Amino acid sequence: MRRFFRENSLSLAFGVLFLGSLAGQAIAGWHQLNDELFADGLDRITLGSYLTSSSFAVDVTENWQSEYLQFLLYVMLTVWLVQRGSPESKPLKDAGQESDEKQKVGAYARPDSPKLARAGGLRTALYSRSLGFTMGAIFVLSWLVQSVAGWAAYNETRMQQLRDPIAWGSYLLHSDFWARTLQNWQSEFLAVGSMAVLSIYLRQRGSPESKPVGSSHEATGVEG
Amino acid sequence: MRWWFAALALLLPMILSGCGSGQDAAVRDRAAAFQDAVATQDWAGACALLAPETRTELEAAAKLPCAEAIAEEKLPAPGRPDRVDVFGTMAEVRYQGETLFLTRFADEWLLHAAGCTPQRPKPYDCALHGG
Repeated sequence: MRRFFRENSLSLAFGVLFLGSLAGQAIAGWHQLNDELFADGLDRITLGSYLTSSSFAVDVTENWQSEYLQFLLYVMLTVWLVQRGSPESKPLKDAGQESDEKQKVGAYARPDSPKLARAGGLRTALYSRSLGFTMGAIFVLSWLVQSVAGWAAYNETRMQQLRDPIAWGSYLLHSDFWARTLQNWQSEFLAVGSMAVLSIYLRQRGSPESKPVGSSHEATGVEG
Repeated sequence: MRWWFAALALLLPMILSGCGSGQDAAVRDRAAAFQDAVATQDWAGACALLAPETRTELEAAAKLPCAEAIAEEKLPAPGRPDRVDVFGTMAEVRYQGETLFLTRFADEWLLHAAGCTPQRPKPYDCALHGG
């Protein structure tokens, strides 16, 4: 059991952080919404009602979609785009999808390679892109749920202001939808871009996200 | 995969906005009860269907008890509702020449605003409203 925890400590730690943060967001968001409802002379809602409300759903999914978009773009763009000196980049000469031999697929698969890497044809082609497909699917679904939940939450606010609700199609072109979306995207792109650049010159001893401390600033695609 | 997206797109609005037929019916019934009370001049009955803040503001503005204050508002007596929209804790019922806004208090729907006429793109101008 101890070995299991030690060998999976990274994913377990982030799982705990995620659940703790989500629970904290639920409690804080519930109090925030009830504070607003009280100020408007409306009835406060239970925690159970808040957890199934469009307000909670939109606040959660607008962050999820942007995180998965960030990793989708990072996974996809780093196939072709490089950054000299960054451990986040491949070596400059390796830009592109690379050879079957280097990717260990088909005839070049090793004994311990996944079966789908050895199968060839469509199955290997799909498996070769499964990380991007999965990240992309979660991004699209999260963004879709954000759009629906955001539409419902925005219409609830409009009615509190004695205004007619709008259609979902209109909401997709509305500033509320794009403000929620773009405020998350800009922060993700800034974080990824700055990580790619700062890691050229700065080091974190022992982290695979950094080059070894003594590596040259010119060394590209080297992880510590 | 395509059917799955289509199902999600159709189901999510209903799930997330709470606009199932149960809520629509409850809102429609409560709006009809208010309209009946106004039509029969059952002012005490109409006041009982107002949200607390709406009732407080009505009494404060008229400086009269609710039943007398609401009688002076000359609320219209519309016919069948054209459209009912429910999103979370708020609902809107549109009639010809009148719109009602309702809000959910615990397990029941109460009148948030009544006697509302459109001023698009501004909010409705309502004879009585809370908040």
